[in-house]
Amino acid sequence: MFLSSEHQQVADMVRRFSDEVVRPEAERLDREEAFAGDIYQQMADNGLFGITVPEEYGGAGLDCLAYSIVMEELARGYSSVADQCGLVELFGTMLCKYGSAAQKTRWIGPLIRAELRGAYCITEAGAGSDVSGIKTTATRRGSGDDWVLNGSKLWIHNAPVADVAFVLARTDPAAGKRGMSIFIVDCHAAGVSRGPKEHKLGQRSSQVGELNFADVSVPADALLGLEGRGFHMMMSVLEKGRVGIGALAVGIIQAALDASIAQAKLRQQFGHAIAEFQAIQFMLADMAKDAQAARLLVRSAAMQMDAGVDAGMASSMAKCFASDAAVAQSSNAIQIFGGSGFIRGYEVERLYRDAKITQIYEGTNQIQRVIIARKLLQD
Amino acid sequence: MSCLVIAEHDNATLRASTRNAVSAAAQVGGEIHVLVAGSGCTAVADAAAGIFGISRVLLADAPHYAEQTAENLAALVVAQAPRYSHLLAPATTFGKNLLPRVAALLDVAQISEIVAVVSPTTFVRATYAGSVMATVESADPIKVVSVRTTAFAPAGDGAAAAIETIAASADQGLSRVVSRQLTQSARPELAVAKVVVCGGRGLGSGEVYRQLLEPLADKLGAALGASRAAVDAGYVANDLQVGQTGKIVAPQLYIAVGISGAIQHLAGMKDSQVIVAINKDPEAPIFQVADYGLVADLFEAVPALTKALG
Amino acid sequence: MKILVPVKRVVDYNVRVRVKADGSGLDIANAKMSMNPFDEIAVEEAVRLKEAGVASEVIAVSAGITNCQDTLRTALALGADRAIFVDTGEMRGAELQPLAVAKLLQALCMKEQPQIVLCGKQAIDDDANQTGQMLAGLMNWPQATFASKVVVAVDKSHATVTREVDGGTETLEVSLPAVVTADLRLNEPRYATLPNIMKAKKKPLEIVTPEALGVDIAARLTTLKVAEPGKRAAGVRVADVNELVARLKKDGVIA
Repeated sequence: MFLSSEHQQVADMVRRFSDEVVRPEAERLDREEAFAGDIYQQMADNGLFGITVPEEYGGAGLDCLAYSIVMEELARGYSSVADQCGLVELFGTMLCKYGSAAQKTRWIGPLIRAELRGAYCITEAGAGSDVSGIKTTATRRGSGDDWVLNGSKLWIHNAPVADVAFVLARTDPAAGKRGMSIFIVDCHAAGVSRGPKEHKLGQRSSQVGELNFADVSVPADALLGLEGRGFHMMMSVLEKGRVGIGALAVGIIQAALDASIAQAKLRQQFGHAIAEFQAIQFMLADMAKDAQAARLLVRSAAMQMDAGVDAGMASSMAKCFASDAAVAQSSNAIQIFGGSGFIRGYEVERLYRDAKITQIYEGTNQIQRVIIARKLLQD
Repeated sequence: MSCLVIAEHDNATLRASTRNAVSAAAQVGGEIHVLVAGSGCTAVADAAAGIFGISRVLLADAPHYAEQTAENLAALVVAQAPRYSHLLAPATTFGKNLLPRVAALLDVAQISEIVAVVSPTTFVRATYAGSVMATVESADPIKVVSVRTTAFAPAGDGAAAAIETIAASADQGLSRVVSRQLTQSARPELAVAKVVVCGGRGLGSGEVYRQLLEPLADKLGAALGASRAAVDAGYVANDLQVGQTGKIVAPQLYIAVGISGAIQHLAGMKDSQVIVAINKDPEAPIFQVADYGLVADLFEAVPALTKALG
Repeated sequence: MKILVPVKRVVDYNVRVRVKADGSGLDIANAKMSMNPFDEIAVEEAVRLKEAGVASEVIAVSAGITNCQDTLRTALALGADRAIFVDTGEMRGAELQPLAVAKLLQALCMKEQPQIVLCGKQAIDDDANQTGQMLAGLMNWPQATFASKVVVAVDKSHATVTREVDGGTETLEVSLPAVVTADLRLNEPRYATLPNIMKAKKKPLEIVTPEALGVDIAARLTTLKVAEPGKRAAGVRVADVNELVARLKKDGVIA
């Protein structure tokens, strides 16, 4: 796809950063399940957090297309690192759209500079796809403006290391979706506790766990946006999130393709490089086809967002297609490697494990299909 | 046709690279003169006079040529140039520094680092880190040519030629060498050694580089070299770097230890007669150019090799 | 003090360059292009000199086809203040050679009066290693090639440059103005940060032509043919050190 000069520069720069800084660490980060603090500091130094956040707040001030390019290139090095970028992008977007001047000043800069780590707390034991099932509550303390937060969030990215949490809580149980609000909570405050780090199948460098709130005192100025608008605010940033994860999945497919091509040329059996066998050639062709199709769906959705056009369906399709393709093609990549692809330490083994979650988080692919069908049938 | 070869020397000794440049000049044809510019360098002129195939040495001896700065030497060469159809120098850092300045002052193109002479006007040179060999032709009245020393056998000895003292050109007063920090080593010089042992990033540290490779180099009477990665990592000094932007070598035997074999490195050594690679990664690109490839842990293989050499 | 940094758009160093099957030229029509790595090092050094307060302005220059402007935008994103693009057009099959580039730079130096021209020591496509030295000759300036360290005197009258030479290093003092060519270890270039890529869009990029500069850029050298070097015969894997030694002895390479 033909990119403008700036977008190509962005792609080139992030590709280089990803190759030189991210990719060499991927195997170790996966093996040690380690938080990539050094890499995040370097990303912050090079403007790789807050891609669409305006320059006045310290972001790069680029568009969604640029964001999708950044996510793809980072993910090509290691998807966990891209996921962290996506998380910070989410905070930047929410704060820019809904934050008060004080909140923007207090939180955007430190999050983009990787001085603070954030956690986005929606999911609970009883509320995954069905967000309306959340039980976390925030009730006004007496007659004052402060709140008391109670509840438990799980499978939260960054929970084990977060300094600040954006928490979706019920502020008016009777009002259903219009009774939820988002609070910006200090994770070091009294009453906040963390569960143990989860050990996951893939994207193991991403630190995931529980965040528990027991009578946590939350000041009035911690309310993000308007009371009761929490669900709506959360929904309003979904499109960008889907574009980001779609791009992340494209990065996984591309990494799988690059590794598979190299292996096919190198590996000899029956007196030939396996790249000469049609079975392998067809698998490579399909892998490349899927990578490009996913990429175009993602970028098209991004460009629609940049044009101010509703990208609900486009972003759902992109996320769904790209993540399904990432799972299928990373499996084929292992097939091309044969036995060695099954061995820890080989990139495709990790890519296969990293790919699976992309079908689940950021809205399961079943929910994505529900969204697409609903749009198709609504008229 | 007449060629002027600019000698490389240190005022006391003529450097072998000059002889390779003379060989290239011999392939161009015509009379060959050698220019020796320095300070107190008559011994060098005498040595140059003994090179086979040359008919005259031009000696310019002056204090401001002591350090052989490009600015001063270029002015001298330009003054002599009208008598010649070809100006040559070895493509060492000396020649690479000097020759283009000469070409520009003469308003002619330079053909850098030739590996072959096709005719007096046509030469072959390497581009794209040696991936592409280009045959180029010059229509300029004077051909300014730097010579890749590994591509031409050094000219031997012959009857002594006449030595003509020429006037020095003026001191340009533009630069001054404050100091030189040159490696002193009993080992053969990397650029001309018959055997080269080259270490890469796989060695892990300068200390390991020395511990493992020095005994091996001693046994083989070899020069030591390094990949760019090893130099960048600080294992050894820059003058050991072999590669596209370092030294080009073509020894009889080249042993690459812990070197992956990036194209830029191969550019510096792929014309070696016999290439041996020791690397624990069976897929390292170096094995594609190696005559003998040993997939092994270098920490075991190198000491074992040193021992097996008796 | 102004520093002029010439930058060249070259085939990316990662690309495996192939010769077309019919030998008519190189198969690089779709190859990824990047700034010559040595020129990146030169830009970095110039920007560091500006950040240290030694230079007041860094001007990036490139010459060639219109896509060279991308390379200049990268230089701007890396910290150059403004850029000059010399539009030579396609040159109908010929190419822009070092002598022509040196003359273009000479014309620009007369106009801009920089105190230092900082360029990469060689371009990784032609591997010529000539342009900086040629410019110095044309300007009658001193030259400090293959620099691994550059220190500008406090009064800016001269610079002390450490050069990487065959036998080690040399410390050279050059009066200013001078041409310095950058070697690999002069510095490690920064990444162009994303915000800076955006800011670069607003920095001035002037377009000039060789005619306006009064320079004849005709090529002097003609490439008659290009070919890939002969491939080495395939080698063999040896099982162990003993087999290696036996084979080397048999080849007569070792005693």
